Amino acid sequence: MSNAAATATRTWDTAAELCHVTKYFDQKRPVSLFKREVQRIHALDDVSFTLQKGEFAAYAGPNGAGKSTTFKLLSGMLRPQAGEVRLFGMDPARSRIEVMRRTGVLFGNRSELWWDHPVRASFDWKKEVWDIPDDVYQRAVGELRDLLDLDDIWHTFARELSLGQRMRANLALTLLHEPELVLLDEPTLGLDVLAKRQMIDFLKRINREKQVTLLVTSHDMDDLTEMADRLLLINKGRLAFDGSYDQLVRTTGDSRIIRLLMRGDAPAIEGASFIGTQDGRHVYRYDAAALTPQQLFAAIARIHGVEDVELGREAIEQVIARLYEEWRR
Amino acid sequence: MAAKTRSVFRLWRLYALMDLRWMLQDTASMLIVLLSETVQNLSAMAGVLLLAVRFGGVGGMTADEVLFMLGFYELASGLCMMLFGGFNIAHISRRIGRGQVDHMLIQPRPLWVQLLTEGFMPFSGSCGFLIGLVLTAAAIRRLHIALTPVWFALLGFYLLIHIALTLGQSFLYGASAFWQPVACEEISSMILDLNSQLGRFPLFGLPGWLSGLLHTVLPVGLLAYLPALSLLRQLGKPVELGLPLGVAAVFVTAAVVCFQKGLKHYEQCSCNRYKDMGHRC
Repeated sequence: MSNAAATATRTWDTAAELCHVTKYFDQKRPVSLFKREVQRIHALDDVSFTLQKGEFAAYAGPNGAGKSTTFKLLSGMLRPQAGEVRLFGMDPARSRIEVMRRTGVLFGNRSELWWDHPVRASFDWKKEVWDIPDDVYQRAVGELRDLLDLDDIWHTFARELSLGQRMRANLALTLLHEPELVLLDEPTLGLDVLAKRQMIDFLKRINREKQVTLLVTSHDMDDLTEMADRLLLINKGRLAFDGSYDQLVRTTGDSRIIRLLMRGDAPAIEGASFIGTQDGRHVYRYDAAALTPQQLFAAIARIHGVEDVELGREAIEQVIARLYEEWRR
Repeated sequence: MAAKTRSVFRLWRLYALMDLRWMLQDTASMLIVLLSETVQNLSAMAGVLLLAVRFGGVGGMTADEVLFMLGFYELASGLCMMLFGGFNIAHISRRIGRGQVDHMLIQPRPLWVQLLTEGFMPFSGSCGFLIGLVLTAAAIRRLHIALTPVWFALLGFYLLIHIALTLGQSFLYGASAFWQPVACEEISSMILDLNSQLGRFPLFGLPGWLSGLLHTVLPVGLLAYLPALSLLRQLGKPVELGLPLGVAAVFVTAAVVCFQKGLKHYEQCSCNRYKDMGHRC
């Protein structure tokens, strides 16, 4: 895309933008004792998308698809070989300081907390380094302590926190300067059900009430489905899908699941494919657009020994897992 | 610029407070840290000092002059550690090799401000400096050195040279971790250890080529030996000032150039390893 064309897509409402971004890494691999071969890994290949202010988008893909690379590009930690990365209309690598004042970044496997200090000290530290005014700091700390339930761990050393507590404290620290854009890489990593629930509710709330733009990655598709309105699927460095979950379901077919409770081996059902047996039930998948209910029930009625039948939609997680599997092939 | 200077002072105050809190949060740990630092610093110079006392001097210096040189080394290296010893700023290859530069890049502060302030530990890192102060004072008293303003200015100059050479080497060689994070993670520590082991020796009597090497390419002679001779008024002025200044300028310039080149490489390739050991440890 030419510079003029790229600029034309930007508006004041744009929080983040990738325009035809290509990023590759050259990896040296030993092929013999003295010989090395250079392999070019395309982390991102001509990827473009725009995040409008106030959007909540999920960024998903199989391992090695290019998710972390995208986050590093958006954070200005990496520069692309081709294309343009813009946050608030600025190049994050060139205008790092200005961009970072308005952006919060959290990588799930990393911590911004000061290890040998109480949680409170990390917040005091951030106040000075980010130059957060007193009134903003007091308000933000009050809200975050309350919403993320930090009171019990406020004076605990960061090194003594459990994984869930550390994630909550990290998230609060990321949001302390009230960023307009928040990039969260695996924020629910390792959290138990309750902590995950708290985290998701909190993210939805700040998106709804404060119009914070969020881009979140996770391997848990149920979490992403619940959190975000928009799904960006990346595979082998290419954007494979950009849209809502409903659109994704329409794209991948209206896939439904049948569970048959019966003794013996799984019989064949015309128009449906057998997936496996779970908890004594034979599970099949079929496309509702291709198989009418009449045809389906007629096919099941011909099977002897059926004790129970369950019908349902295929979980989004399964749809995406199937997509990943197809991509891998 | 005035705003940046103010922010540097504010950050120094912040890190000083954090250091104080860290010291006071556990009395037993604090005492053990202070004790081990003291033992480490004293044992590092014990060998040279005991030899000098036993033989009435070593390497062309009397025992008291050796004490002065060792005192100066402790003072200078202690000051360097007090200013840059915290959170691996002096051991910069660790931060780079462990993939922790990312933590710096998301802060809305220029990198030079972060590097200048984050290592400040005036309380927990003051042990070497205080030992150096006591030893230097004792040596000055025994040697009857006249303490004039010029002498103090010269002392300040050599302290700065020591810090510039130490950090210059650490950052120059440490920048290699941008390209080889695993192999070079500890290269800054190696350089600092080398300086610490060789920088405390009087170099008089060495062959010219070796002495030259140790005052230029591997400038351990400029860390304490030449400054001590100068402060004891045994060298001519041009060499006293010009050589350390020139060598320090070369190392600092090379370090800045290589570090910037390394950062550019990091922006292209990042670091594919990350050690979650407390991200600044």
